[in-house]
Amino acid sequence: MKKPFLSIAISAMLMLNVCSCEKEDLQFEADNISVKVIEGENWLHDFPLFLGINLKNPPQFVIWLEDTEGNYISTLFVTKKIATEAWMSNDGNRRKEALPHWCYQRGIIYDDGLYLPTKEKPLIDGISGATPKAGIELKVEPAAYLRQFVIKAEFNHSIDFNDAFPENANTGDSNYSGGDMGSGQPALVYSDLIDLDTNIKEYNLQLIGHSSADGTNGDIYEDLSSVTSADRIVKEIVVQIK
Amino acid sequence: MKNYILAIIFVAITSIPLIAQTEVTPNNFFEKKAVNLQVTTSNISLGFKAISNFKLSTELDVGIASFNEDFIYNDYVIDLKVFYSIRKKEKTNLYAGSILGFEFINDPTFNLTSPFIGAIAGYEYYFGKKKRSGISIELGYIYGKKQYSKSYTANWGTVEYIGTFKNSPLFLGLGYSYYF
Repeated sequence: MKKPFLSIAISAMLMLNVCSCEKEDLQFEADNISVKVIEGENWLHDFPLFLGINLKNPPQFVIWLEDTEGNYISTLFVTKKIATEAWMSNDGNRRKEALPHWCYQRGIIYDDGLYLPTKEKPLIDGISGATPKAGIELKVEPAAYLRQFVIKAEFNHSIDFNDAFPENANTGDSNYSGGDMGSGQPALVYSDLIDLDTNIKEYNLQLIGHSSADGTNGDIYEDLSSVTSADRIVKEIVVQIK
Repeated sequence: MKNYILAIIFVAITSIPLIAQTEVTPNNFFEKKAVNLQVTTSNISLGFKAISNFKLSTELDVGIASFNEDFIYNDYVIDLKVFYSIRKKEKTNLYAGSILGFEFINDPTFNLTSPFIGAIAGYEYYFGKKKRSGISIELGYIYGKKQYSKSYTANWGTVEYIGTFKNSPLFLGLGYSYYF
């Protein structure tokens, strides 16, 4: 009976070799731009499943470009659930409160009147990917004409309730954030102006405010006093000019 | 291509114990054969199971699956399980073994083939006339991850990203087998 175990062990080792792929890194050239999101202590957030079991959920987020006049240029990266409406058991809730500033800046209205991509019409003008369990890095090669631009990022956890944005707030209340499966603390927006004609080689996106709690507009609210933990979803967002 | 070649080698190696330990005649090679329907935490699969006279069994499954966060069954999986019966009685079978396979992930903007490996323990209860039916529960650990790259180009420039697809480590499956 030793032979079967030996052959299973050999097979297992063989497949482990197949599974353990070498880590691939982005290759940068001169004037390429690295956008690196470094996760903060609240990157993963408890999401209750059943029987007291919690799932560690990463945030929904998006990184995009705007011109210096505040006009949307393109999405760089957006999490897949937002890009393809890939929510589980959402009962038709499209989570318009998740990333409203990006939604309104992008300005594309879908069949149901919301600014969010749908299953039928997923986002294709940018990269979407499964929500990473840790930060990410993007490589950006702007066209020759694009010398000054703004990089923005917006982050949000669902059911991230606090005293200022409670679960039991009612529709229409100023602190309503989407109900029992809504956001709680609203999405936070980070931004910085990138100027390729200067000698500055590194930028840190600055937290500029929070988005609409209920997702009904694309405004930015600079008062962050009601945010208690969402500002630690991200540690920093570093833009490096290579 | 390397993955596919290794998979073929794997299938060949795992077949050795079944072939090597018996005289291969149609009458004594397999004790039982079965078709199997299994629902797991990530896929729904149809399989063919063969149980040898030497406490070993193999199962080849092909199924539809939902991977990569979209909760849509538009992905595919193929796997091979090799089990050893730890305690087998007339009505029950307690077994453990390994699972190896490939996942074929479909995404609106990319496709990915990812190998995986795991260890599974299971319990099957036989019922019906001549014990031709069996229901089973399997629990195990799966490991598999693969990097993928994506890029998007427009008139403003290009963005590139390297992501990692990682299997959910928990394997929980409920199955029904019909033996013939």
